[in-house]
Amino acid sequence: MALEHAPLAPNPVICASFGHCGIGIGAEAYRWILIDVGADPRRPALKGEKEQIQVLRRYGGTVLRFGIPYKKSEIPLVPRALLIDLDPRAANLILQSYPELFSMKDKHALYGMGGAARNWAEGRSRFKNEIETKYDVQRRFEELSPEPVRGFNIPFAMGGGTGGAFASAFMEHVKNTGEGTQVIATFGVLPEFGWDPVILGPASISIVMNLDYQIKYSDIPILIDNKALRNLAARFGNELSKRSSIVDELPEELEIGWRDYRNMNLISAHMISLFVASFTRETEWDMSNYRTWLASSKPRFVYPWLIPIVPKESDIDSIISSISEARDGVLFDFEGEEPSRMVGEKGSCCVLVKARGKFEHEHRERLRKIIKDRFPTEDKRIIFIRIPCLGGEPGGVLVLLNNKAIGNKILSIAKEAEESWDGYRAEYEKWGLKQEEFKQSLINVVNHFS
Amino acid sequence: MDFSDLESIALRLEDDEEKLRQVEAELAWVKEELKQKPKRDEKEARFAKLAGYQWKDESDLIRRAKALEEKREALINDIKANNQSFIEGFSSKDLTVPLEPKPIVESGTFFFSFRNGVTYPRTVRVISKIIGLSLPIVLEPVTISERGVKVVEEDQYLAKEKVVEAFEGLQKTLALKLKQPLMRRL
Repeated sequence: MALEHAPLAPNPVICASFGHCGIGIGAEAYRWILIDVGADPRRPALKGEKEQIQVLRRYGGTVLRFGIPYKKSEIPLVPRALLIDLDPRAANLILQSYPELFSMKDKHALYGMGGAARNWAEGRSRFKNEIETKYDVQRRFEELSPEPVRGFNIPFAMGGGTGGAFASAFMEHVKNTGEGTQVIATFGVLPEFGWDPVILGPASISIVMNLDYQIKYSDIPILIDNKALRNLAARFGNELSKRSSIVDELPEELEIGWRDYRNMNLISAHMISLFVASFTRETEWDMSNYRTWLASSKPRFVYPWLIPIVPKESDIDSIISSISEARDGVLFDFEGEEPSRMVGEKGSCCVLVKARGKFEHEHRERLRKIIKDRFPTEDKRIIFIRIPCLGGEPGGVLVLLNNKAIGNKILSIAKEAEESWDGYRAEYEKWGLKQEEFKQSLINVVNHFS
Repeated sequence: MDFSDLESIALRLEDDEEKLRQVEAELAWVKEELKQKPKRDEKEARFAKLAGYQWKDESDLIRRAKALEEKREALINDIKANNQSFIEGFSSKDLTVPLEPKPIVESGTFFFSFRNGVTYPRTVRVISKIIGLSLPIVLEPVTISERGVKVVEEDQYLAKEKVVEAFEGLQKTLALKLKQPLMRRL
């Protein structure tokens, strides 16, 4: 079914999800995006030209592609998503539970011989041995996206072994083999020590290595924090329980390990869907614009502020009025420190506004005030980007903050990593992470965040 | 604080570390002797009885071991204090690295020697040891040796920027080892 006047689509962006956490968030983000366009995530298909145009207007075929028609009038929507893990269980579960969504079957997944033992070095080494050499990664991209790839969205956990290490090795692979035009956006999830199943010392070492790779290879490094997500998931539990989640449809005996993260992943999915909409819908913004925004920043990392946490309304007045939620919607935890004192002079932010109707001067002023009350930022360093809100979908605001307030927390993790290194050194060196490399990464991270 | 002060601290630090190595080696020998002592004492006593004289233990090993333990303790404390002074001095915001303002240019590299041809072998060695990097210290594209700092860069101003970044990175990372709240120092 060919469209007579199809909108021109921006080049594709692939979501490469790494590890258990990355796969959970990536799959949930796709589900969120499909619900946004009015498709059934279990069998996302379009029934006519009108629906096709609707999808093209919203995502331009960037993150979704049209598959081979099931019947004469039904065209499936296929996520441009790759689920990658050493342990095949997470990806298998998603593929089996959503066979119509990930309709290219195992072309959507790459996996190895079992987990990386919470060891970043083992993960990196095994990415090279079990993924890069075993699979033709480039061909996998071409299968998902025959057109040249514009960029990658990469969700992963930073405190484990596989997700962070694979994401790091993958970023390096893309930047070393691509033509330099591909843009990488990373969604690195910081663990909550004492709650998430991570080991303090090795997790700190993993975080340092992941941060160093993001400094070197990611154009848009976005940090989210499980401690903040967990608090928000509990606080907005009632509202989030009304949203459907990919976890709800997993077999009951297999949902252990996913259930605890259901609401947290929904919040991350909401954030990612707004971020993706900023360059896939009809906006004045391209994915590469973020690269220039962050090029000279220090730290060149952003953290998100979601308003509201659970979308309800679509007009800008109602969105801004959810002020009580606004204060809580920062997806980063400052460990009790007041961020307003730590933002620095050159902090900036990018405000993505997905709302119906006009976005007047008065709305900008109100949003600026909300932001400046908590994160003092010069007016001229605040960028507003309008995202069309179409059909009956609710709107939202995503403030991407780039300032120094995250430095203290990262430096205390770096300190932990430095103190732990001697104890774990032999285990890491066995897998090819030498002391020299770790220490250089540590210096780079400390310098970058202080 | 400048590199000359650091070199003095590093000298004391390395001297004390050498002394500590000697004391520990001696202490290990004395402890081994002490282990053998009961067996030897018994043999000496039996021989004395056979030979018909009164045997008296004159080895003084216990007192010697005690003195060495005390010396060891004192050296460890000195090393800790010197280590702390070195880290504080190096990570201080007032640190001066006495580099020649004009570098020597050699095909794509700039070499900033330390002023007046002075070398700082101990300072560079101690930094590398505390941080855990090998010598010379390489922080791409900067290499720090006892004679000065080499930068692989095309432009002199960028080279200077890289030198500043490399030293700031080392300063801030060394500061991680201090117990004070991080942001107050960095």
